[in-house]
Amino acid sequence: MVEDDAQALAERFLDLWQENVRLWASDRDILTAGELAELLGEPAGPRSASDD
Amino acid sequence: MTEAGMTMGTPGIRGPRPMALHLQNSLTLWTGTEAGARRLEHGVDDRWHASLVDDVKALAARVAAMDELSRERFFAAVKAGADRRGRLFLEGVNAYLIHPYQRPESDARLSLELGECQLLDFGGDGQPVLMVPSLINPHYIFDLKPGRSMAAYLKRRGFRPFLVDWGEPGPEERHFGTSDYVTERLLPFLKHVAALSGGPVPVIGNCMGGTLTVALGGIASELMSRLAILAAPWDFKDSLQHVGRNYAPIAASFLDRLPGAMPLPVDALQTFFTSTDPTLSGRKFRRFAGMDKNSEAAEFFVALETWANTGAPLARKVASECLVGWYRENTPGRGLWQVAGKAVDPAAINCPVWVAAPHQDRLVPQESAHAILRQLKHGTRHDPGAGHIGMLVGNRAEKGLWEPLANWLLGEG
Repeated sequence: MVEDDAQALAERFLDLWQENVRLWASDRDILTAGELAELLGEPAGPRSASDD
Repeated sequence: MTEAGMTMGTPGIRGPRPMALHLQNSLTLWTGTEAGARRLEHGVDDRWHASLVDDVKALAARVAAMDELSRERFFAAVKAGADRRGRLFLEGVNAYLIHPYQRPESDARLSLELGECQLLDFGGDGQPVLMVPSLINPHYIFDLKPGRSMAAYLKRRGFRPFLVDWGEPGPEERHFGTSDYVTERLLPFLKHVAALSGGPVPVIGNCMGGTLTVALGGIASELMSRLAILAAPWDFKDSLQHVGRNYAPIAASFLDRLPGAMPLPVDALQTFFTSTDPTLSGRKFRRFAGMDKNSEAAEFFVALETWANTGAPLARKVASECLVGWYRENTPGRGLWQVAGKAVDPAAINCPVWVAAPHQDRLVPQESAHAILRQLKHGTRHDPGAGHIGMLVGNRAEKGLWEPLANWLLGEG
């Protein structure tokens, strides 16, 4: 039961996560790859060897 | 015509394009979910869209009420679910790329060729009708596949469709602006069809092609018996939310950096369309992953995706006129758009004009398309009840658009 609840909540969270991006893209007109990464708190691109 | 069921030899370019951007977006979207879920323990920050804040707060409250073990199960489920969505997207893309469907070869014959532009004749002894697609995507949205072909439908209703295939800009078209496309391509095509018909003929224009046919009607009204424009943008005033308006200056500056007479590449346009909703391709391809690949729905998906990703580059001057002139300066809506040396005036069209525009069209807001009605002498509005592309080829296309359009062209509507 607890497992089911966690699972259902997780799916709900993922739906909201996706919808959040769609709504921001709609508001801002477009959302570039860099803006998407910024919105979601991730680096804009893959790390290069020189980052290490 | 695709109704004949012949097979095309080459599969053409398949998307989603640009592939790297779609893959990057999916990776970015789903990689940070667990960290995003854990941030909820510190409150709902301003990265959440205002319209979702209440829902997110409610979810966060339920998570906060969990015991520690359950909460960790929730975070693990978020990560697993995100991984699954990312994987399903890749499975959908892969299934699309290896899907055997190929668009049946058209048996429309070449009627007239000017530069790289072709006028295709679907045959029959019915009333000739000229069909003008957008310059951005391939012409065959009017003849996508069996059962989803407006050209085939119109032929069954007693018409002889002539379809403009713009092709890729050649040595001549590379220097074209919108005026050249109207006067050097559409006008000779219209004269050709009208000569075959022995009098004025009906014209159908879709999206940007519809806007071009308005200019055509302004200089050759005597050759048109009726004009139907479908989701054709007209008024670009600031209050109307044309998607991509903010992108127009970026794209316009990009044009200046292209070498020589190089037209605007397809991938530049596709980058724009992808960025209007970075979640769309993920949703579409995950759905496709779960489809019966032998179904008509799966074939339709492949046909439409391939169409959407097989556009031609846009002549530089045309791109500039549209991105700067139309989007930023609203030259059509303000009566400043010049074709054949004079401003395009919808009031110069003497024949009846049918203006079809879906109310849920994000690319061309209905109000933008309807704005032309205020300037037309004989305008009729129609809402096809589907989206920008769906109205042409979707499940409701026949009842929502083709049938009322044919009735109107026949004077029955």
